[in-house]
Amino acid sequence: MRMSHFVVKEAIQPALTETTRDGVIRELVASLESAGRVLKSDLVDVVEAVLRRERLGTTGIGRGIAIPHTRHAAVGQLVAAVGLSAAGVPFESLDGEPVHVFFLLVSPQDQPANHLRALEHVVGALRDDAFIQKLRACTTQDEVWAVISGGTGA
Amino acid sequence: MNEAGRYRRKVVVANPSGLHMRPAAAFQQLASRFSSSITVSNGTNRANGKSAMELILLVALPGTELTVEVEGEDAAAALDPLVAVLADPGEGYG
Repeated sequence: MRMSHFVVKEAIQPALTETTRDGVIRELVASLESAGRVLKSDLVDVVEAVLRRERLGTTGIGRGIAIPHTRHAAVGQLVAAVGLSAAGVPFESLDGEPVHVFFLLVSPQDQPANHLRALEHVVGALRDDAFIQKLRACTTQDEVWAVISGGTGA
Repeated sequence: MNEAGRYRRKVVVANPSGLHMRPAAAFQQLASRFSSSITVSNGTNRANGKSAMELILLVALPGTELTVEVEGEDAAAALDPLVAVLADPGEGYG
């Protein structure tokens, strides 16, 4: 499984406009809806599910990265939205630092093993400082997509 | 209990979603309270127990046998609660 297999290019937000945890989660789920990967009728429910999960414990895993996620019947296969925030968003991260890079994952309800492998791919890529630096330097959807689909971390 | 030393124990991942982000984060948060070095291994893959990222990269599916090793001043006190996180069936997905 490559990241480019589940990251939705049209759901990449190279400059998030929201500045709060809940706002960013709404913005990223909305981008999946705009990209046609989540139905409008499921939008509110998916946002709520991601927020509910976030309240159980932060997905801000440290080093400026957060991986908000949920399992939801709204999707038949794993999809991910990506968001970048130059200013950083407070996220109650494990290391207390604001988050600059978001990977929001929505996985089907019946595939926990696939979810774990997707998480492994995202975390494995994001552990690489060079990959993060390249990602954070991006200013357009095309640039982010190029970093995700090529080179390290793909 | 505050016995220094080196301890090792095997534990089977009980969470039905495996060692996903929530138990990994919980493990990191607990492990970080101890001064001992804490390592979790899945076969030949080893993770620093104080890094949720490394723990996720073990890709420990439900039923996987992991080995927890703790070494340092508070090793004896650390072992039981750390093993308990991995043995906890949890509340499912997250």
